[in-house]
Amino acid sequence: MTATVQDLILSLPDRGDRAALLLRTSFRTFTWSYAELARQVRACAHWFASQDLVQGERVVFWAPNSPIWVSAYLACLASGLVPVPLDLHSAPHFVERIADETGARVLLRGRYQTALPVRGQSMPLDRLEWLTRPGEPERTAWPALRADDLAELMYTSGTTSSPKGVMLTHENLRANLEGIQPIVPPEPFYRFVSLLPLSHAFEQTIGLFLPLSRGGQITYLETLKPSALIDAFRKDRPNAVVAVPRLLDLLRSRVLGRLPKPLRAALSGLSPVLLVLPWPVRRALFAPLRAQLGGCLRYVVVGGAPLDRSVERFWDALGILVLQGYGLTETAPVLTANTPSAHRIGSVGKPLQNVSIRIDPDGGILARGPNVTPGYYQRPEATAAAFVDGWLRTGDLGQFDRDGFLYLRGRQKDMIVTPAGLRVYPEDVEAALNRQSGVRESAVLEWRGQVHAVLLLDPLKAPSALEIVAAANRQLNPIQQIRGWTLWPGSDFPRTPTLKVRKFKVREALASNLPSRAHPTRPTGRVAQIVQDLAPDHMVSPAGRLGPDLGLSSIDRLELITLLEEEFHVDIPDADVTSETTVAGLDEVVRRGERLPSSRPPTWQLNRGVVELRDIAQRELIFPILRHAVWLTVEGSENLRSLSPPVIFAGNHVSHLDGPTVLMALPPWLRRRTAVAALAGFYFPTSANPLENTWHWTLFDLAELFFNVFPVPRARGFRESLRHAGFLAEHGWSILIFPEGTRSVNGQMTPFREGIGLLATELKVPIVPFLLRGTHRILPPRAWVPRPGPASLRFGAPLYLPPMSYGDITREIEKAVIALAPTIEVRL
Amino acid sequence: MFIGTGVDLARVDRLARLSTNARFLRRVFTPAELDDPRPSHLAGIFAAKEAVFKAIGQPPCWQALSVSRAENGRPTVRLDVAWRDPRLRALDVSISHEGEWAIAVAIAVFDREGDGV
Repeated sequence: MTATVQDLILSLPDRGDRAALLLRTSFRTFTWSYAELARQVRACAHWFASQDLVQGERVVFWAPNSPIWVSAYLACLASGLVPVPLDLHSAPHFVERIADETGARVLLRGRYQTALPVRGQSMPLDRLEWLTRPGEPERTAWPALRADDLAELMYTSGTTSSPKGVMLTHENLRANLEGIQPIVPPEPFYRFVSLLPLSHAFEQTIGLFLPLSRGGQITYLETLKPSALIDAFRKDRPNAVVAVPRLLDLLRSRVLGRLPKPLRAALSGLSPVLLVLPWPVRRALFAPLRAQLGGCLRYVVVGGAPLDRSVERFWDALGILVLQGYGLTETAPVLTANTPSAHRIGSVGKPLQNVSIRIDPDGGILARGPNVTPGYYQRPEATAAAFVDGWLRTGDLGQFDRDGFLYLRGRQKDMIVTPAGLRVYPEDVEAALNRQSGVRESAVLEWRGQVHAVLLLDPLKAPSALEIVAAANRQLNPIQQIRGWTLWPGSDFPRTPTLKVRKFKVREALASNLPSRAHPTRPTGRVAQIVQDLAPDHMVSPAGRLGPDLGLSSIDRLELITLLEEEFHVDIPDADVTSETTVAGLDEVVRRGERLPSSRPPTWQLNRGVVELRDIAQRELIFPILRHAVWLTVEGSENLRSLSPPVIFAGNHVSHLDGPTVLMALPPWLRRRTAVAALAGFYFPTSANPLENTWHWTLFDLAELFFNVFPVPRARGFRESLRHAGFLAEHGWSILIFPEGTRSVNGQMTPFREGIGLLATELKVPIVPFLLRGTHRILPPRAWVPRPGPASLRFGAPLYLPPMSYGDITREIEKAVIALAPTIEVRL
Repeated sequence: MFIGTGVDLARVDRLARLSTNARFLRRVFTPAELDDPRPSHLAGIFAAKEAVFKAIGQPPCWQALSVSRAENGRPTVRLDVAWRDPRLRALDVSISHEGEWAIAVAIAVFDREGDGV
């Protein structure tokens, strides 16, 4: 018997400094070693205990994937608390309802999930991260958990029908992990990039527990837009990912889109032929294509929805094994899987060794095994209906081939899964449709990758299908929007003996004779369709302008941008979509969004040789001269001794001499790895005089060389330099910054800019405040020749600030600087 | 000196519907603004931001502008230095709610010429 999940969690520290989790934000990458992850888990568990949560109590998770999500989740499991992970896109009232039903006293939410009233606390995860930072108390004693103790509750149904919470026990989780271990090939080092929400059992077991049990590394991304995705693939070179079919489809078109046309045609047509070639040959042949995905990708584990055979063949042809599996949340989750040594295209593989699968006389798939749920939370009638003689009814139809591979033949639970792994429950969409007058009944299913409605209308009462769908769409959230519809020709849908609509029969009808009945007035392109959804009363044409012709307000345009980003996984700047943009123009905007940002600030000035050269130049040349002009006294150096870089030095700005002066005061071990942020306005004024421009460029190059300066532009490209600051912090470089943004004219301090608050929050580094006095008399603004004189510099104690708004953090830093000199004159 | 004005109207139910769209919230509002998630509050902030962008005559950069309430309930706006026209001297905004609507008016005061913020 393999270890329990609690054992797994408690053994994390054994792997020491090996990287466990990575978080890539738009600013920098954070790394959690196994030891640090284990520490954070203990600290979170201590925090839970300090909230008087007792074993068996529920904790709701409503937040995007991140290492702190993982820590809090593992802390719950190890202390016998019951996590209830909810989909990110759950509506607030649904979250409230679940919190209520489960009696949860703690709701852990993301920064962008709204605060909800719960009986106890609605805690943002980044605040929990701060509360459990190194040095905070940790839990040391752990409860003994029984195999049949409840481990977690997973809500699987939609928001309108009564939600059902699947109970998974500690034994369920352990058993499934044990079941998949033998079929996972040994790799020296597993690197995963997480693409699915951790609220899926699939992502938890295969994307989290499995890598952790193998000492692997998992990368979490703040956003799944393609630039971030491809960046992460290139840098972290994953050898395995877990995905849903539509994401694979999307990635395929993206990879194909980068090829010259003839090659693209050949590749999309020829893949069955290519499959004849031996695997190593294919891998060699398509190495350049795979390089786009980091070059190391070997396995893509797919589940959650039916996978198109052509997609599977395409990836197979590239030499990337697509391992399709099958399972349900109710089975924690894997039942069957293809393995590298035994896989068949179109099949979902063979049952795991500790799982039994049986096909009932109607073709229904029944499952039994230690990974099968004991039932639904507080729903005895639903539990009773789900089992027959101790076998779980999966609700899916299937059959085995001669060799024991399972093939699915239609699913009853026709859940729709978006490329990002978010779930759309057809019953929610059907409920919105059935509320419209004239609708007798509707069947919603995924058709050509979109939410599609099949409508049974009352011919006497019904308004047009267009109006019905538009009215329903207004009540649905963006991922639930109905993108296409068909009128059902018969007098009733095909039904099961229990009178449920047989979705797969409806689907068969759609595939054979119905597509021609799809609504003819709908525009064909995806972009145009999305616009049409937002402007249901207008006729969408390529030349139509969003504002004047289609009546989209600025908020409509914002919604449009988010929908396009969601659909095409792109990044669209606000400024690209104005009221004058045409529908055809949007296509271009989307295409532009697919291109990757190319520029990256140069890093030669961080090069070891340059660092040595700079060090010598500073010590032998610059500081000796500077010391003649600036007679410096330094206070508070003791605050620097225990620093662990990276940190941000932030203080007031009175003279051009400030940067060099502060550098001179830093001990060499800090100074050698400190970069100076400079407002680009000084170095790059847009002067009409080319000579002056050249002079400023030369100055800047010298500043880069001697003081490791990097520019912070005032206007465009601001985020770029923040990313550069992130890059510096990620590599252990400290940053010296003058947050006033400009030198004050008379030595007084002006208010700090919020950029410093943003920097401190997003880079998560401590701030060392400092106060400089006297240099403005030595070299006043606009003067070029210094007049030697005394100056003083005082460092304060480092600030470790809790999450606050950028503005509040800025004020705190400002206060800390002011506090260094009670007598300084402040003009705010 | 010259002055720019901007006005904007936002529907509360529109914001209520969009409040499940995390991507939208994240694009438009700062974390502090989301601390109060009532749609009427969000509609007010949205209108205020839109009004400010009209007043300063710049394309919107939602995250660069933050709206907060002083203790007396009066809204204050802060525009990130990176997005600020160097000639901008003062910025003020006022918000009002009535039923399903929120409205905001913004005034921006500029110097005729400027030499940095």
